[in-house]
Amino acid sequence: MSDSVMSDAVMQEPSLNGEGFKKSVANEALSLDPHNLELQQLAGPADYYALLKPRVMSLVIFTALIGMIVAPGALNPVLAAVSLLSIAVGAGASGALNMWWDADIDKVMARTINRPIPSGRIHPKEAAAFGSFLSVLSVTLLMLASNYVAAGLLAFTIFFYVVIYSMWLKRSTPQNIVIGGAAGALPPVVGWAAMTGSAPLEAWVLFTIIFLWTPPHFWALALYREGDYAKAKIPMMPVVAGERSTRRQIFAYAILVGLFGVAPFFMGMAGLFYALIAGILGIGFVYLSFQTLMAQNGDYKSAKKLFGFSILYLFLLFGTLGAENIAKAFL
Amino acid sequence: MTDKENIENDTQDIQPPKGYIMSDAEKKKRSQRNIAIALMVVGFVGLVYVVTLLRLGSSVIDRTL
Repeated sequence: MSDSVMSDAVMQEPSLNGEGFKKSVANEALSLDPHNLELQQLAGPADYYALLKPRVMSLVIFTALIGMIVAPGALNPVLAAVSLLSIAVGAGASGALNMWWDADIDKVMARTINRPIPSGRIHPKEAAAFGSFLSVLSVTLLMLASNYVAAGLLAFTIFFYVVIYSMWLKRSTPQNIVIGGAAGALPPVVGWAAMTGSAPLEAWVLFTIIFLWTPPHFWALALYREGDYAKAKIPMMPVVAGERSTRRQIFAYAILVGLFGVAPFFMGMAGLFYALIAGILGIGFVYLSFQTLMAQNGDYKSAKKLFGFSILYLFLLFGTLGAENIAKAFL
Repeated sequence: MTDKENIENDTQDIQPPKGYIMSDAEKKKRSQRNIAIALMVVGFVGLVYVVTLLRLGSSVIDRTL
């Protein structure tokens, strides 16, 4: 059965809406009962590292670093490095707590089945303890190295990702990654606050770019992983609203990302070079999302391209912003 | 008691090991975990030390002895 046919079949189930959906998720979770998993093998340091979601962590480090570079304040380089490390560890901690909570659905999805908990290398309780310990450690270290504002923002980011997104939104609404995206968008604000002790409007411009970028990025992935999400009963947009509606929403968000990507130039945070790069990248993003919109249901070539480009987009956009600010400091 | 009887008595006292016996691979992983934890703890202590020095700055030596 193809992914689209399968999701159509799932969509016809009345239990996928409202309370019925929540109950079916709860029943599924009970039958899997990840908290009674028997460990298959002893975990090594690499398994604990995998628990930190290193790829997500690298994006957090990168965007937080750009926030620190663009921020006008000055901090001892060693303290700045320790602050960045704290933000990275905080992101890893929330990743570990997310894996603890989502162990039941990770076991169902092909993309996540080899993670340390579903594959039986780490016990869920161990992951919960590890994540909680690192959360406290990272916030405390950031408070020591920089200031209370940054530490408070990091604590809020971890709380938002684990409690608001993972525990509440992810299994209950197709807007899960839209609202939950705030957690992924906060690192540059935390980085900015670490340097200055405040979070002004400019920092929230960086937040808004990532916040608007998150839905088209994840929905492009969800389009061709729809079957996986349906199997795990996660109400991602393509599963609940269908492919056509998702493709329309991806296009709408891509336009917003394209427009907002140039905002740092108008806010005086970047120069003409950045504006040019942001404009070109924005056109590329809108063009690929338009291709995704025009593609037939079941054709995921453009969605895969868009997903790949979205990562490149964020990397180049923030990279240019950071490089321009560094260059400005030396000229 | 003859030597043979002595040996028989001794072997009766030897009990098979109880509980879970780790394989060599598991022992290696446990050792790696222990080293990783030690490095993390030492690293953390070092970080807190350096951060404290940098935060306090010259105030470290500017105190009543």
